[in-house]
Amino acid sequence: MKVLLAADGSKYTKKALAFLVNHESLVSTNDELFVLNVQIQVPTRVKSMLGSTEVAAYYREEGDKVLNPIKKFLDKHALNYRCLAVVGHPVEEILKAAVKEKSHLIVMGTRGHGLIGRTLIGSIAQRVVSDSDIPVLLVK
Amino acid sequence: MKILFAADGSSFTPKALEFLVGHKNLLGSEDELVVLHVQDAISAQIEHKLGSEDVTAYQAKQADEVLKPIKEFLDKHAVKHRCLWAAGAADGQIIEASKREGVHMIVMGTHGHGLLSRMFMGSVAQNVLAESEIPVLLVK
Repeated sequence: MKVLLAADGSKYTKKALAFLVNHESLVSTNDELFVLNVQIQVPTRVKSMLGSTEVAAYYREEGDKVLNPIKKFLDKHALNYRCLAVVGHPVEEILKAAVKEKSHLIVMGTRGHGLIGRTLIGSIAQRVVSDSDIPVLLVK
Repeated sequence: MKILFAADGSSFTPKALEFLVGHKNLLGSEDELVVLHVQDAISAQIEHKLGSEDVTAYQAKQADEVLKPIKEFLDKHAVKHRCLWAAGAADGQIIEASKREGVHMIVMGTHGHGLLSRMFMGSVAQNVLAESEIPVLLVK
């Protein structure tokens, strides 16, 4: 099964990874796991102040911060995967990638880094569930 | 992987079944799929009037109507399974069964028979997500 893991580096990402590795049937060897990290766009004003080279470096650095430990973990468990960091709106990018990659399943945390711990499911997960045409596995 | 499939007989049930059968390796060769159908509780007043035997018989018949096609479908696709039914609040029964059966994942639809389809997720799915300690796969 082709699985898209939306990773933001929060504790939910770790839980989702542990679940995938423990249930390898989800990502059996001939299928590929696609790990996507979405960096939220820096405001235009900030971008013009810092210059686009600086901003691009920032995105790359932040993307690596999330994806490098994931790569290390997946390598250790000998899983077949690809990683990508993109810049944009998380909901749109996750749904776009799912279509492009012809994923069968989206795996993500119920919540990310958001601070509003009282809500039971974060706004990104909510909108992915509501707009996705494929099943969504929510990990808590 | 041990999976609990919460089936309400709505349009999400066949979709979830297609998904499970399409990705049979999720279930593994040794684990059986636990199919749970929850019947609405019948008010104590009515139960008192009709007698609890009649009420149980009615619920069993209703449950059978939902479970029978599921059973046939799973038999046809040679998926090992066990069908259960319960009466009460669907969310509570689903959580209880997931604990009792020691499953690793719950599969359910985002909406049941409810009419508020504009909402991103029905109240049963929301409550299950809130209470569950294991991942929940939402099929739309």
